[in-house]
Amino acid sequence: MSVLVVAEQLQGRVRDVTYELITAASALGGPVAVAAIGSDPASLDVNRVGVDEIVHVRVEQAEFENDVYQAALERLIAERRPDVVLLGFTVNSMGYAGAVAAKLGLGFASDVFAVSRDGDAVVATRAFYGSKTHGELEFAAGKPVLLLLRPTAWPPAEEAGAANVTELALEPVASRARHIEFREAAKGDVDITTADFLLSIGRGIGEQENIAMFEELAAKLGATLAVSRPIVDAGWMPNARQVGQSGKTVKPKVYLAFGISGAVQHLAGMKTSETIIAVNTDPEAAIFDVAHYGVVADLFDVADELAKLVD
Amino acid sequence: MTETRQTFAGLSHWEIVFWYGLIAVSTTTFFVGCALLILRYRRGRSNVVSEPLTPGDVLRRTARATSIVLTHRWIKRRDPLAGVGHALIFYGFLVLFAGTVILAFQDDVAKPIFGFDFWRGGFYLGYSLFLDIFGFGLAVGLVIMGVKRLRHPRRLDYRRPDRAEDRHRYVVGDWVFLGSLFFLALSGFLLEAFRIADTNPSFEVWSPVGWTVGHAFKALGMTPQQASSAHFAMWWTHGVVALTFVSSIPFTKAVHMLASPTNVAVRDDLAGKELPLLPAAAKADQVGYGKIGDLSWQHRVSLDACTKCGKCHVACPATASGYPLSPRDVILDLRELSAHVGADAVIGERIRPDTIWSCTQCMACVEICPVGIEHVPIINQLRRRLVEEGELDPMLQSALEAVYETGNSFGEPKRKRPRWVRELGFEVKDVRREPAELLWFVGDYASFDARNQRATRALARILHAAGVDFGILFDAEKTAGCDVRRAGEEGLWAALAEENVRTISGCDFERIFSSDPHTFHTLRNEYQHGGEWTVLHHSQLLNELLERGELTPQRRLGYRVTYHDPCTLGRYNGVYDAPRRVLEAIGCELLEMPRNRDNSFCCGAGGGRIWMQELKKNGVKRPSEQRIDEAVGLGTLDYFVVCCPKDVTMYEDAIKTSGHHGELELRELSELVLESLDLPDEQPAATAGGKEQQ
Amino acid sequence: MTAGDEEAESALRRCLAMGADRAIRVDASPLDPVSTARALAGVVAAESADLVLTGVQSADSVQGSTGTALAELLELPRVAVVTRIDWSGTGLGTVDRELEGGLIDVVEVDTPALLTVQTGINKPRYANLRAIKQAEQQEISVVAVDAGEPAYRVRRMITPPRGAGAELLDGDPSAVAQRIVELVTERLG
Repeated sequence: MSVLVVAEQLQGRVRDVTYELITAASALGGPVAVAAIGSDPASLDVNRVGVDEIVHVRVEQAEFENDVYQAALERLIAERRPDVVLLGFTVNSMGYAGAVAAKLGLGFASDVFAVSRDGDAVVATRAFYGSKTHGELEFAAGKPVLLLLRPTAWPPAEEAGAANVTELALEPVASRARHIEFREAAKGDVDITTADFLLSIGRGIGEQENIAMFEELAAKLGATLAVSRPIVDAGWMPNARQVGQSGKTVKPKVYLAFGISGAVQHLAGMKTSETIIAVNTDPEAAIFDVAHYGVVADLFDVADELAKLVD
Repeated sequence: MTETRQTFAGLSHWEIVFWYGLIAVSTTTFFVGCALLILRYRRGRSNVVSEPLTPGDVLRRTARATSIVLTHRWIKRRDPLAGVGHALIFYGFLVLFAGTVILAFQDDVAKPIFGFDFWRGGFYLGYSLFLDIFGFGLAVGLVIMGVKRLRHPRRLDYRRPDRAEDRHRYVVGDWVFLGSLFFLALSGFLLEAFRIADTNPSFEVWSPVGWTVGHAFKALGMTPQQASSAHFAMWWTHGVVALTFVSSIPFTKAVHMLASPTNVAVRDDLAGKELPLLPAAAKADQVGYGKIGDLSWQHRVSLDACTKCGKCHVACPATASGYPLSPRDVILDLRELSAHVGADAVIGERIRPDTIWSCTQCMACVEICPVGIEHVPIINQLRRRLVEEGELDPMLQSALEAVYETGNSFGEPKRKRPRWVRELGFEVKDVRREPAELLWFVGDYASFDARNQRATRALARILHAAGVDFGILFDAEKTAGCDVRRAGEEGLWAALAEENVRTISGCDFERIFSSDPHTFHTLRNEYQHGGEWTVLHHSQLLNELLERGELTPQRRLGYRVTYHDPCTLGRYNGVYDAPRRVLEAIGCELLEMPRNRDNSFCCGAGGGRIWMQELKKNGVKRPSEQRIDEAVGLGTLDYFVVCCPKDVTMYEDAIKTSGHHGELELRELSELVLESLDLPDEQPAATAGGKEQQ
Repeated sequence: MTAGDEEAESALRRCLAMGADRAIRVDASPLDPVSTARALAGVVAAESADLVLTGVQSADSVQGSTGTALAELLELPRVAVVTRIDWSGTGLGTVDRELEGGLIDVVEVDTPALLTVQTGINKPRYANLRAIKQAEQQEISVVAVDAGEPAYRVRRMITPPRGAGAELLDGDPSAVAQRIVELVTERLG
C-alpha cells in the first residue's frame, strides 16, 4: 500500500502536522513518499525515519495557494498512483483537498483520527454528530483514497531518516486566488501560552457583561484569562486570548474551564494541560472526557464562592 | 372734509397699471408656490390613526385649530413672552393684511362694480386707528423676538448633536424674515408719516403713529415737496418689498404661516400614543419610512410647519445628554430632503441609525411643539424601516430575540416569571383558573428584576390587606410589548398582542391593572380588543382604594418627597393626579420637581433604550443622573418617589452614579403605601405559602 | 440553497426572513462532502452567480470540504476559511483567510468566485417577525438530483468508549470552591 504525504509548510518552516502524517503513513506498512511543495523545497526538512522518498516540487509561489497545491497534487497522483494520500486536516487543506477529490473522483474523508489496513483496503475512523459517535469508513476500490488527518492524533516522527530525493517538474500555475501578505491577528496584551494558570471561559457564561466577573476572579486567583472561540466570534475578547485549533495551543499547570463544552477544536488546544478542572452544567459535556476534575454545577455559583474565598 | 384718502395718489395711470402687474406676478408666484407644496404633500400616503375624516371631522378639526391658533394656546406654553411677542406679530400681520384686502375690495370691486364707497368717514377713521395700533404692535412684537434672539438662548442654538454642520444659512434666514417684516412695519409707518407731512389733514390724528412721526419730520423742517418725494419713494419700496415677501412665502420660513395652522388641523391627536398598524400583507419596502415618499401627507405638511423654535430640542432628554439626536434636526433633515431632493430621497443618507436609536419615545417633543409636529411617530416609522433592514443597535437585537424566544426581554424561562410570589406568605390567585375582580398584568421588570420584585410584593401585600380580589396570569403572561413596538419591531408586538389578548380573553375578570405604565399604556390604548376592557395603573387603583376607604393608612408618614411623573403614565395618558393624591393620603409632603407633569424629564429607559448601548457623550450626565441632580436641588428630601419599574431601575442606579448616594433614597409608590399601613410582619413561607402554578 | 430533506426548509425560511429573495432545496441527503457538492453543483451553476458563499463546515459532520469540492465542480476560483471580505468599489477586493494560531493570510481572488466563510465574520442580521411570517408563506423550489457515487461508505458506527473521565467534585458550590482552591494551590506548587 503506497502512501503519499503532502507536507504542509508556512513561511519556510514545515508545520508539525507533517511529522504526525509521516507517523501515520509509516504505520500502514508500504512505501511512503513525502511531497515538499514550495519555491525552495530543498530547504524544507521532511527527512524522517519512515520516509522512503522525498519528492521536491518546485513552484514560483513561496507560500500556499490552493490552485498551486491542487495542480501539484493532481500531478503527483497521476504520475505516482499512490493508494493513499495523507494531508493534515488544516485550513490549507480545506482549500484544495475537496477539490482534488471531486475532480478525480477519489475516496475522501476528513478529520480522521484512526487509519488501518484491511487487506488491500484502507479503513479510516472519524467522529460524527459532535463526537457523539465514531464511524468506521471504507472506500471504493480502484481509486486512491485522500484522507485529512486530525492534528495531534498521531505523535510526530522525530528521528532523522534516510530518504532519497526526486524532483517533479510542474508547469507554472496561474493562481486564481493569490497570496498577498500575512497579517498578525490583533496583538493582545498577554501571551496565554506562557501562563502557568489559565482561567478559561466559554459560551456558558451567557452575556458579555458577565466577562467582568471572571476577569476579576482570574485576577484574584492569579490566573490569566483565556477564552474559547464563541467569545472571540462574538467580538467580546481578542483572538490572542483564544485557546483552540484556530487560536493558541496551551499547556499550563492548571487549566480551569467555566462554561466550555469541549468542542474538538478547543480540546485540541488544551488537552495536554497538566491539570484540567472543568465546571459545566451539562454532565455530558465533552470537556469532562479530557478533564482531570469535573464539577457539574452552575458556573456563576461556583465562581461566586471562589471569589469569596480569595477575597 | 370727508375723512378718506385717495389710493394711488400721485401715481400716473401707467404706474398704477405697472403696480397691478407686479401684484399679478407676486400673487401668481405665491399660488404656484403653494400649488407645488400641495402637489408634494399629495404624494404622501395617509396615516391618520383615528377614524377616517368625515365632513363633520373636517369641521371640528378646523374649528379646533382656529381656536388653538387664535388663542395662541400652544405657542405660549413654557414661554409666555414668546406668546405675547408672537401674538403681536400674528395679529399685527393679520390686521394689516385684512386692511389691504378691505382696501383692495373697495377699490377693485365695491366702488367700480357696485358704486359702493365705504372707505370714508367713521369707517376710515376706525380703520386708520386700528391699523396703526396693530402695526405698532407688530413692530413691538418683532422687537421682542429680535431681543430674545440676541440673547442666544439654547433653544435657538442650531448646532447639531450628531455632526458639525454650518447652519449660517438658517441664522441668516431667520434675521431676514424678522428684518423684512420689521422693514415693512417701519416703512409702512414712514410712508404714512410722509403722506401726513405732505397733505396734513386734521383727521389723520386718527393714525397716531403716522401723525406723530409725520409732524416730527415737519418740525425738523421737511417741506411738503420733500415729503411728497419721500412718500413716493417709500411707497414703491414698501410695495415692492411687500409683494416680494408675499411671493416668497411658500419658499421661505414664512411658509409656516400657512403650514403651521394646517398642521394643527390635520395632525393626529393620538400621535405617538397609538401607533399605526402595519398594512396587511405589507412587503419589506412598505414598512416604515425609508424614502421621503414613504411619509404620510400629514407628516410632510408638518415638515414645513416647523419654525426651528427649538422647544423640542431643549425638552429632549437624549439631546440633553449628548446623544446624537435632536428631534428638531430630524424634522429639519427630512425637510431638506423633501424640499431639495424629493420623494426618492433615501432618508438613511442623511439621518444615521444611531440618531434614530437614541430616542426614548418620551413624547416631550410632541408635547411641547407649538405647531403639532409628530416627531415620535415619525422616528418610530424610521425605526420600523431600520428593523426591516436589520440595522439594529446590537444589544437591541439580542433583547428582541430574547422576547421572541422566551416572551420576556430578560431571556429567562417563563416558569421564573411568577417566582416573586414565593415570599409573600399568602397565595396569589391564578386568574386563568378562577374568576377575579381585578386581573393584574404584572410586566417583565416588575416580575424578573430583583429590586422591582420588592415593589411588586409590596403592592401584593397592600391588596391582600385591603381584601382586593385580584389574580395574575403566572407564566402565561408575556411582555405586553409596548417598548418592542416603540423600538420598531411591529410584527413582534402584534404577535405578542395577539397572544396576550387570547390569554386574557380566556379569563373571567372585571378590570385590568398593571404596576408598569408601559404595560398599562399598550393594554389600554393599543390592544385591539373592542374597548371592553377597563385598564388602570396601580396608582389609580391605590387612589381609588384610599378614597373609598377600603385602604386606611394607620399613620401619616410625614416624609418630604418628590415625585417623578413617568412618561407613559403622564404625557401618554394624562394620569398626573392619582399618584399625588395617594402621596397626600399617606401624609407625605410633596415638593414638585421643577420639571413636572407634562414637562417631566424622561429617565432615559423608554423606547427600548433600556436594552440598547450607551450613546451619551463623554463627560455629560445621562438623563437619569441629570434628573437626580434636579431632585437634589430641591433641598433636603427623604425620598424620590416613582411608580414605574424602569424608573426604579434607572434611578437606583443614577443615585449611585450621580454622586448623590446617601443624599436621597428611592421609593416606589407601593412601598410607601405599604409602610403607612403598618401591617404586622408576614413571614415568607418556607413551605408552599405562595404556590406557583406550573 | 441547501441539500437536505424537508427539515432543512426551516433553515431556508429563516434565510428568507433575513432578506433572501429566493430559496431552493436540493432534495438529497448525501453524507460526504463530494456527493453533497455534486448534488448542489447543477442548481448552483444554473444561477450563474458572481459570488457563491458557503460555510466552512457543518456542525454535525465537520468535514470542512463541501464548499471547496463545489467550487471545483463549478470551476470557480475559491478561498476557504474566510474571516473578512474587503469589498472594493466594484466587487471583491481582498479576503482574509484565517490560519491556525490566528495568523491572517490576505488573498486576492478572481471573480466570479466561491468563498467558504468562517463563523464569527459578523453578527447575523435580525429577522423581524413580519418577515418570518411572510417567509412561512413563501414558496421554496425543490429540485431532485442524483448525487452519484459517495466518497466513503460507513462500515459501522460505534459509540466511543468513554475515558476514565474526570473525577467529579461533589458538594455545594462553597465546598466545591474550597476543593478547587486546594487543587490549584497544590498543582501550582
